[in-house]
Amino acid sequence: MDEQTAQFRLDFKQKLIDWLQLEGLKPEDILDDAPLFKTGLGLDSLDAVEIVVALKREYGIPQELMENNRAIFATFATLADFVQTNKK
Amino acid sequence: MPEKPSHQNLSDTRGNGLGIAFFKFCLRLLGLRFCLAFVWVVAAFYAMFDRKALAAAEPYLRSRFPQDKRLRRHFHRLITSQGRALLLAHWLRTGHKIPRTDVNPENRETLFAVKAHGFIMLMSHVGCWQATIPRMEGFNQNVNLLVQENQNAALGQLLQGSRYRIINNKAPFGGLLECLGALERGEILCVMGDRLPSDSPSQLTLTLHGRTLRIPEAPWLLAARCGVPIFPIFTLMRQSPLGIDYIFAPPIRVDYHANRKPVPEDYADALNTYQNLLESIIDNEPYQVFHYNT
Repeated sequence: MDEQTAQFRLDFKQKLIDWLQLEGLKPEDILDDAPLFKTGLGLDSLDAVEIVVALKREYGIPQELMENNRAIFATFATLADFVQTNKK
Repeated sequence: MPEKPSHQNLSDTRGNGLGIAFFKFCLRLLGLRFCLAFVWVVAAFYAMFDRKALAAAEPYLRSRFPQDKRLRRHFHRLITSQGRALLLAHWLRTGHKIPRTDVNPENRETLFAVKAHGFIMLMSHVGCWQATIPRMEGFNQNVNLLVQENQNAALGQLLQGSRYRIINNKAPFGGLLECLGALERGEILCVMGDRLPSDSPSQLTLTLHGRTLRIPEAPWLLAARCGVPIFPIFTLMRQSPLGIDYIFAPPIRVDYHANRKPVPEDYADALNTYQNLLESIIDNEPYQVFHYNT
């Protein structure tokens, strides 16, 4: 992983914590390859809505791009890579 | 037959195949008016012998009639009313029409004014709630229904030939991303507001006459994030013996713009409005509110 990607992921973890109000969690607690939903970070469907809305607001990513591409929500790494690739 | 879900509403477990077949036969042979009258007799059977149903209805009835000892009498009227609602719903599903009256038409006009931008139609387990669905045909707008899996088959018959789409709440992310997409496209999202699905990730609570009711958070979050109004609608059976009164409540807006996930307190004002509406219905039409503990 290059330095730019590592920094982006660190910043993005902090954003996720802020958006979803994951109290008591630090960026280093979010593992890149752990599932985001149910197991792993334990997010739920309402968090998914919040993430989609935030990505549209903060990075200009069209919502339909995420609605039809659920694989991006598998892990933190898949989501972060998707955002890094598609952000405007 | 649809697969039996792990969690069922009480209304889904009432009756049996033979009883349902009997009513369908009577509807064809003797008509709706006869069946609406006869359901009073069947409800008497439930009132006397169905302890499970009585126990499920008891918290609601106790909260509505706290000093009254005639619990079975109230339960009989409640079950009779629900039986009538089921008959009317079946009548609509089989392509028949029922006389309808729009109450508070000014709120309906508000609804039409905003429909180009999408809104959430919030149904409740009040009266013949299924009648909401065919009523929306006149909106000339795409309508999306977020429903529980076990309701799909029955609801599907109400939707034929219309601009409807069912969103299954067992889909990934509870179907909420599809709901979000629909609202972003300016479509209508129709969702049940007063009963929590068994596996709902998050819940809000209302207090109705001292009784706590757990409700889903999803419609309120979607309203907040999409900036769309919530229109509560109630379908009451007040015209005897036939007819549906459509109560269009004023729109409820969730005023929330922070860049963090809302917490229950952020919905307080909006929820209070919905709570007051439900309490008003409970006060005025206590036998048309189907809040069972399941």
